[in-house]
Amino acid sequence: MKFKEKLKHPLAGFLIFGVALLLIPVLYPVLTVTLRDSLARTLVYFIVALGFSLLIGYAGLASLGSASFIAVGTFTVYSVIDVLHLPFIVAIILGIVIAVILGALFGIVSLRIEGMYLAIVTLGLAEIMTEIFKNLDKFTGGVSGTSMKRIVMFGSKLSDRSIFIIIIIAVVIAMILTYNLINSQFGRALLSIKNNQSAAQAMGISVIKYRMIAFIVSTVYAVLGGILMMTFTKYSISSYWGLAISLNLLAAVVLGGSKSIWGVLIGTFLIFGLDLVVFKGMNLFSGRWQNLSLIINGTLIIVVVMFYPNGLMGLFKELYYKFKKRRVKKDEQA
Amino acid sequence: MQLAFDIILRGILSAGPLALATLAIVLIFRTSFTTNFAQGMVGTVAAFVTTGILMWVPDVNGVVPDPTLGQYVLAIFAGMVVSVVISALIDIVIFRNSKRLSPVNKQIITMGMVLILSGIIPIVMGINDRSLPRIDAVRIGGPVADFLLYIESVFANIGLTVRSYQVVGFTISIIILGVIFSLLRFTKWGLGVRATASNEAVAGMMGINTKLVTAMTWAIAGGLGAVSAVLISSSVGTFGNVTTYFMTPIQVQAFFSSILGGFGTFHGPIVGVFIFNIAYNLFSVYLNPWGTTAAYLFVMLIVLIRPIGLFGKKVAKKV
Repeated sequence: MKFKEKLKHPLAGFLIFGVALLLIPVLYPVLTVTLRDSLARTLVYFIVALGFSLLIGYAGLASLGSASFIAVGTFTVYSVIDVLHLPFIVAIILGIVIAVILGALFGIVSLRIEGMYLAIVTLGLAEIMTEIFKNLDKFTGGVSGTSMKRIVMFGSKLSDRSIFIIIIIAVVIAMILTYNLINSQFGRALLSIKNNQSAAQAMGISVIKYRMIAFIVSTVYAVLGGILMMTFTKYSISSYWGLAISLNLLAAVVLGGSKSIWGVLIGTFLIFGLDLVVFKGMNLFSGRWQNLSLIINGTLIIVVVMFYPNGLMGLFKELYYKFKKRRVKKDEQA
Repeated sequence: MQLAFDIILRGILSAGPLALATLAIVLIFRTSFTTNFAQGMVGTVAAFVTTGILMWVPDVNGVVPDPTLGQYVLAIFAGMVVSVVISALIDIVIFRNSKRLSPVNKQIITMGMVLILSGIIPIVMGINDRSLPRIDAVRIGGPVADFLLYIESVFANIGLTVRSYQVVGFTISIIILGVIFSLLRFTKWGLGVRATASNEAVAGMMGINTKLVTAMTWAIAGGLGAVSAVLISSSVGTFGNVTTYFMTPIQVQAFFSSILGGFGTFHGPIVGVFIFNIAYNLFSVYLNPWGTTAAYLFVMLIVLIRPIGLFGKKVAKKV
């Protein structure tokens, strides 16, 4: 009985999910290269989407800069290891420092410019980032992109399988961290700002502080995601990290339900997993049909925003309660 | 100094087509209360239709299609019809049924439209690069061409370079801008747009068919987007100037111009376009390669000081 109660604890769910994910590195020899690659990418996008869900679900800020933050992560780890020849841990620390600075910058902008103007301004900031990537070609490879050597850790080269395990650990940590953040004073403060800024301010909640933290946290998630992405895929080009990736991330968060961690997971797997694993991974569609998933994603996002504002997770909950109600009624009749 | 005048002149001329894209965004903003991210994509579709009609199978060796003026105009009209229909359908099917959504959610819907359109384009048109030729004096021919060449030589005499396709693009844009502004001022549709912009519910009560007004606004915005996309892509002149995402930077520029001028008025964003484009051209030459960065930061600085834009009206917020 006690064990069962412990299983009901939300954090247990995250750990079980992590253990289940460990099946992937166990089954590693059986999986094809594209499938491994797609799964790793999807998991990294999930980390980024978790950070983004704080912004859009809790702070109500629609930002279109997430893809360029991932790019920052990929180029940071490349520059630290292959250009400056420093250890991996320096890349992580430097990545966090850069993320805090960038997040604070975007946060300052979000204080003056609100609501729908924010998406426009962050889009402009993303364009600026693209130009920076192009011009700093020593660190980013410029327009032709850059590829990275294997990372050496504890004296030996890291295999893909061990990087995969690191990604899984990062996913579980990100989930637990996000859960704690949104169930703390921070999450409640953000929600109150989103619902009524004037009322929140009247209650003594500092809008500047919480928006800034929200931006910084989501940027740190994205940059660390970029670092993980680069260590696994070992290739990054600035033109890849454009508007489409940012929009897909937005779609992933909105689709699953921006206020639920499991919702974000469902969204990420529907948006990125479906494309990477099913369409690209199995080579079902190529050539002119390569962007078929974009059409599906776009349609899903429009339908969800129009009819199910709480995302698929909200829909599932609704159905669950309807089902439960019916059962209770039946029980009463009996 | 000569160079600076040259750049400023280029900035003014190329601001014309950009102004059309901006006006489309502002029109939709005033009637549907959202910033339409799909505006650029709708224009892109029109550019693809135009180049598809001129040359259905794109040339692998990079040959730009070479139509006569008549063929070109017909193809552009076909592209306009397609984008007008798409734009109007977006309003009729989606936005008419999502009035109660918050502005940010409406924005997300238009971003979903961007995804859908960017997926459809390669399915219909293939993945090869396509291109549109310049609309210059040689293509137009006749007395108009002589006049264009005369303008070129006049500017050349005072040491400034002006190309005929720039003059054509600018003139077309100014004429269209004039038509739209007089429509806004003197027609029933214009009155409807202005009434809807100030208060949709009251406008409806006063007998204005807000549904029709909004749908027409979207249709007109689609047409504007088509013309601006064709003018902008063709002015590049080299092979491969029509790609799925070629309007994305243009759209960001249009958005930034609108923010600079302020979304609150119709004329503000147009003035904003000219200021932005001149600054952008100057920065891209004198601050090369950091032109885009400098131009966007310039707008952001102004907006940080004046969030409502240069010509915006302050809206009192009720608590």
